[in-house]
Amino acid sequence: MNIESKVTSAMEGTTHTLKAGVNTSFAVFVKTLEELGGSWIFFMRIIRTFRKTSGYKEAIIQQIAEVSTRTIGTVIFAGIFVGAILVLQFDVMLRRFDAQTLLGGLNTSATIREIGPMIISFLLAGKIGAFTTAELANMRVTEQIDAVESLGVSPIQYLIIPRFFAIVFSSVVLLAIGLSVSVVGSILVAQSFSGMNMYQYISSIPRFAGAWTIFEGLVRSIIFSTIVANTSTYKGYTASGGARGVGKAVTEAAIYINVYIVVANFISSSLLEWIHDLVYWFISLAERFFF
Amino acid sequence: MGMGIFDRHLRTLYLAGYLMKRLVQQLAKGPHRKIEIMDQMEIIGIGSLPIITIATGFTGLVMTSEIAWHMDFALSNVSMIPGFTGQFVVRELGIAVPALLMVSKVGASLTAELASMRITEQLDAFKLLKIDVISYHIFPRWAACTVATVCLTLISIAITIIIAMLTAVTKYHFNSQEYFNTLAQFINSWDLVCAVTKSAIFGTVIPPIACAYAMKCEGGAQGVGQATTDAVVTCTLAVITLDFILTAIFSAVL
Amino acid sequence: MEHVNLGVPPCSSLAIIGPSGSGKSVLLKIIAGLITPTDGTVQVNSQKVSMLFQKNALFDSFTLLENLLIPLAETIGIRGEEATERSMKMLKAVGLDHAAKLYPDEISGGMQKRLGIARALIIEPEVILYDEPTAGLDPITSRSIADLMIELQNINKTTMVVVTNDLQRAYQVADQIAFCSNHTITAVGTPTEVKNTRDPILRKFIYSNALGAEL
Repeated sequence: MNIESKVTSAMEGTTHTLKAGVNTSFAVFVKTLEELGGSWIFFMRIIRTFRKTSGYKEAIIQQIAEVSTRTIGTVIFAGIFVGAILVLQFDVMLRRFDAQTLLGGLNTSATIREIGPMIISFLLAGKIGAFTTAELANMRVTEQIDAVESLGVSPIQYLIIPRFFAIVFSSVVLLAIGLSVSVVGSILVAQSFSGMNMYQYISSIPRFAGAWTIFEGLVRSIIFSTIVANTSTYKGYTASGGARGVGKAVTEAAIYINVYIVVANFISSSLLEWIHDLVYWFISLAERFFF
Repeated sequence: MGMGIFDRHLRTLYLAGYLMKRLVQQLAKGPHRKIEIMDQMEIIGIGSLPIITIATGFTGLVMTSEIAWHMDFALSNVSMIPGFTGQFVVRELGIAVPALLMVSKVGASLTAELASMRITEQLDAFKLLKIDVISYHIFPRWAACTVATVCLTLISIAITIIIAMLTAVTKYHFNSQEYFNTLAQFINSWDLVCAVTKSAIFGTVIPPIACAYAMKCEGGAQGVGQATTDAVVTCTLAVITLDFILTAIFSAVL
Repeated sequence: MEHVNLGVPPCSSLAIIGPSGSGKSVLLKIIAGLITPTDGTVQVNSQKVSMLFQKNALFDSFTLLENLLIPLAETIGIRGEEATERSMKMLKAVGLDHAAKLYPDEISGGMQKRLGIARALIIEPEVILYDEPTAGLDPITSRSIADLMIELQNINKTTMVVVTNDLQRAYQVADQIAFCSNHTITAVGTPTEVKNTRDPILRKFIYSNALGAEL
């Protein structure tokens, strides 16, 4: 009797957990579709308004100044650590395969192309994304956005567009700075922790990280920055429900930005790989033609 | 940027430290609130499962083909792919990415929830009813977050390895049996201990920091937004810094 | 707040009235022990002090019933069937038993206020502090809340301190009224004494107060 009931309750527990998992997953799936649709419409609205109107330069520059000064310290801090972590990890692993000479190249390539943009973008999601969402959401629930509208000014023009473009621009620049700091930091960490000579480290870089690597890093930065800018302004603008609404908007912005970044990472990876193969196919074709 | 800003963050971190101390004490002696912990496990653990699986899946797809490509390109030696990929996933990627996602999902919602409670005077109500917020509200969430992070990290590692194997099988013509054999050679139980320890530490520091920012927030809706933002940023930086320290320790020891 | 010297006899009620920003809510929180005074002492001859907050401070992620079960379980230590029984009884007393499974954001302002009172009373306090209990309520609901406050005081023999700007309610529930102005208490008296006061500041407050106009 005892064993039977224990098995039954274990099975019930598992079923309950599975059901909960499926329900949650389904709810999340539906919610994500709603989110994506709303985000996309919002994005289109921003682009359309931007193309039809003008006079943003000053506002955008001011926002860029604000965003950058707030974030630069954190980005440098994170950049150093991200570079350091990767160096340590790769060093240990390469040591096992007796391929330590590759440390410089592998680390730099991985940092600039993949891991650097992703982790630093996670950070920007919080520092810039959450901040902007909090700012706009607060304006929304205290009816300041409605007030702006009642004065005959379009909130999209006045509030959203300067922030949007300032974030895209600043994030790309900040990511570039962060990645550079990462790479430089890695060199120093490699020297102190793994006893690798600086020149040895740098020598393996050109083989792995060339113009294409930087191009990839740049493309990813632009995509991730746009995600941060669009999602954070969208969640802030559509917040509702008082203080709890602000909290909810910021939380959701943080989560969605992170998830979008990961998915976009994959899509851009495949796309870039495809473009890379195409470009090099053309180049090899051209070489054969002209030689 | 000025010392004034750092001052605020340092004070909050000090509070976070105090909360951590109280939470550990409660773990040792106080009421264990198992039912509440179970409830929170469902909310935090199962609630984060979809996000972690999706994110891990996509990250895995990218990372594994990246590393495989590097191996192929650099060494023209594909036999090392299972070992290298597996190691990287178990030691770093499979741990850091879920942790950072937990920061945004769990960290942000804990802060937002507690901060709203603070500004609607619910925390004052608790105080007057002689109910200890740390014991009643924070402890179950802290315990659940720690356990959930460990579980989700292990699930995440499993998913990434499976995806890595599928990538290797389709792109580089590995045999799946072969793959697992090579993998087993390179990952030992110590790697798993490393993974569990790291994820446990990450999961454990998020709630105290999040709740500290919430308890120190002020000023209505804006305060809630500010506290949540600060909590997410500080937790992210904390995870990155701890990751570095733990990586350094584990590399030196191994 | 400065120079406050106030005493409240047991089983009586004190209303604190005064202009906004004069420190009434702060005084209440000091009495409750939520704010520590930098100087002076607060002596409350009771361990069981309860408070109704201005915005009710209801536990919004819990149902009405759970809002009562939590204090019973955590503050007094009563759980299970007995707790449910007591909670339902209290909900009935404030007229909310039909809404036991609803959440605070699903009920009206007046109902939220009633729940706030119910939660304050469920732990059977000896002293209750009310922070603007009728703020934002329509006159009819205000009156019924005040009736409820008096009824429950009579039944449970509690001491009440009420901060309010609603003069009519103050007259209705209070044995003594204190006038708080400029961060200090300037006058104390019975409702009749207050209505007939010679103090010019107090007179101005009472008779230009739209809610209590008695011209």
